[in-house]
Amino acid sequence: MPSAFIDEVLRPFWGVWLMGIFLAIVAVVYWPGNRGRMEEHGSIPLRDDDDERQEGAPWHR
Amino acid sequence: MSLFKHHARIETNALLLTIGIVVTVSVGGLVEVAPLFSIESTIERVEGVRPYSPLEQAGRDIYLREGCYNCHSQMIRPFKDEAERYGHYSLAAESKYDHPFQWGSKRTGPDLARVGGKYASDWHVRHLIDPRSVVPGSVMPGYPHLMRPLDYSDISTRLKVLRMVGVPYSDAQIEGAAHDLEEQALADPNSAPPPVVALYPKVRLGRAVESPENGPVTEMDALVAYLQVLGTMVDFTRVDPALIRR
Amino acid sequence: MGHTHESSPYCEAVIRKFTLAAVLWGILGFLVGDFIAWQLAFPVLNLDLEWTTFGRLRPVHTTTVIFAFGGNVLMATSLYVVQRTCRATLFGGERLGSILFWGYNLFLALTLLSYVLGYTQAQEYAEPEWLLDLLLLVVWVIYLAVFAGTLLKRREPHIYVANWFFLAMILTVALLHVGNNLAVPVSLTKSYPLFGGVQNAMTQWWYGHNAVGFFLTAGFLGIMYYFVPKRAERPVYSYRLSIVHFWALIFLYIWAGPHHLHYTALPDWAQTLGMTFSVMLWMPSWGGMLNGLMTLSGAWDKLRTDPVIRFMVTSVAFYGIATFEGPLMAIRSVNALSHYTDWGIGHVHSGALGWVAFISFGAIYFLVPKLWGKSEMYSLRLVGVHFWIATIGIVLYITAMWISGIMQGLMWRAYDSYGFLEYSFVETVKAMHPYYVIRAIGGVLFLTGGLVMAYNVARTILGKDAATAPALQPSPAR
Repeated sequence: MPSAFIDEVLRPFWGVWLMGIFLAIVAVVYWPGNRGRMEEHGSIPLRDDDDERQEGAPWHR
Repeated sequence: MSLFKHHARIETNALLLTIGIVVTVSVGGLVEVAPLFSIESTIERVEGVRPYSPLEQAGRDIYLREGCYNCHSQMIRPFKDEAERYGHYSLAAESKYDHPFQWGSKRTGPDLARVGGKYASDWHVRHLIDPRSVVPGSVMPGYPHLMRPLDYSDISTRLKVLRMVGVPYSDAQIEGAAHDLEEQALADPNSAPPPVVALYPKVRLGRAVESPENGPVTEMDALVAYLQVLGTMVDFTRVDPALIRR
Repeated sequence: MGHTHESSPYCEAVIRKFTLAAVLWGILGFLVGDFIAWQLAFPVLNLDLEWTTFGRLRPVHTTTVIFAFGGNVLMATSLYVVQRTCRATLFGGERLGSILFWGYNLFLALTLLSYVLGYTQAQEYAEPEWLLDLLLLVVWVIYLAVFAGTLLKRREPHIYVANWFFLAMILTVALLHVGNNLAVPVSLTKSYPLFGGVQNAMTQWWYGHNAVGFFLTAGFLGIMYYFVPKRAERPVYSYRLSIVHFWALIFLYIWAGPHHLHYTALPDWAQTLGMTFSVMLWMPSWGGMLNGLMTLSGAWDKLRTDPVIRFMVTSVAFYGIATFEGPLMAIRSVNALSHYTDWGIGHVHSGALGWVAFISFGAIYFLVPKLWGKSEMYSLRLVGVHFWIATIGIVLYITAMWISGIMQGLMWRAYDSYGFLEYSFVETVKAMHPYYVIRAIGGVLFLTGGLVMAYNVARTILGKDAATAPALQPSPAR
């Protein structure tokens, strides 16, 4: 019964599993080894359009 | 990396993101909203709250149509000043038949949860037609167009739909809706009470505005009938405070 | 659209339509908003006509600015960003994009007309009747298909974080829209909602608050995370912070709705949950604000030289102000004073004018030259003029509402020396008059700024200046 599961497990202990998930996300994101890869994603907007345009955008269909 | 594998990984990411978002935003709704539909203590057990009479419901629909909720709340909070200004704080039970609820979010004008019986019907009519004629300094719009005839051709259907969403109208109330509406609006308050009073206790009988030629029921009649019943259904002199404490 | 830019590999005609629609709807929304502001100062402006009363026009204002202006901005920017950051053309191409554009704007036009004529569900920000709700649902599913479809065909392995915010906005708004508009029709133009009373109140504010949280916050954060780095020509300050920001924000926001129902007949446990989460929401909000602001670190001079950046950075600062004020007002004892007063209206507008509209103006000023193949706006000086007029307008608006709101709250609860309530209600109404006038003047300034923008946009589009963009914009290191 999903509703029983929600009432008896998820609701009383929501603080615990919420915190667990959140800390897991923070841990993954801030894991030292992930830093370079993560921050590299930040440059995605900076290498779009106009560069592609000049290259003739061979991928464009 | 083969093209196919690359593609598969991409689709998984987008899907995971979608699932993650849906789960994350669903949790709050499930934990917070869902229990309100089952928990017993959400709505107090008090006597007197009844479905609106057809005329009151027609008036309520005008209240909705004109967007009165944009400036008037119908939810008195449990503070001393609000109790003195408006009356006893609002109970959940008092709006349990309100589809939609009209608690409001802004008081550009005063709260209306207990406006019923505070002013004469004639005052409401003059106020609605020209607010500043009776309340100098008011910023309320005038509603002279409410003097036109009320269209209640589908009043039975309205009550029937309200029953579908949980308002306990009886078959007789639904079938006789148009008749009950006219009976309430056109009754002479000075003669013996008509049968509609038994179906809907405490209804306000008679026209909102004296109409010598006994013309058709107006939108004004309906709206004022609604305003006059607001907050009057529960008799708070007979409510045990311990039973409604939250 | 006569323009075709064969040099662009992306679907841009549809973005151009959304951008133009946003400018036009914005002006209509500001105009109606200012008109009803004057109505509160001078009620004779209600004209004693049923179609022009405050009660019917206020939903016209809110729907026009939120869903017409905001919605068209979101669609323009999200569909622009998703193509560029995914390096993929729009799913469904120009044709599906065009269907989305006309479908959405048809919904808006019919909805606004229906309000004026008195057809409404009478639930704030969810006023469209059931048939229009269904139309919006269809349109929204198309939007999801176009957006998610583009994500699926991307060439960039990683989904850039701006798209996370856009996707969360699209999915959650769909959920909210369906959940809050369940109703049984009486006729083609009238329905009664499935839920009544306290349940209706809770679903309505679950919807209402998260319309703010996801439509007006998450969606526009998506704009921030693309357009601020793009215009500043540097990556976002911390990409890792942006991910934490995202998950914390969307998780916490969904719980905060009950703070609209403090001290009402909603059970106390729900009010307490709403308050707690609202206060916690402060943290991710400021995390996101810092992330946006610090993107400028090392390039603060652009604030002085580039009015477009100034719009964007100021919007992020207003986001910070509004997300500090919001948790404060969600505290029950503060809310006891602020609720039902103009303080709430002021708070909403510091978010709506300062954050949502300013980041939108920034994005529009960025997009228009790009989309119409120009190197820059017709006049950056006029952008600066717009900025200052609008900023002064906002300051007038917010301060007037702070004063009138707090004054109202205090007057309602004031007692005289005999222990009676000191003021009748209408005395508190009269006391608001000067502030309502100041607020309306602030609105005139904000509207004027919008007209300056429209003029600037028109001159840019009609101008002869052809794009020499690559030469003017040094490419950042790959």
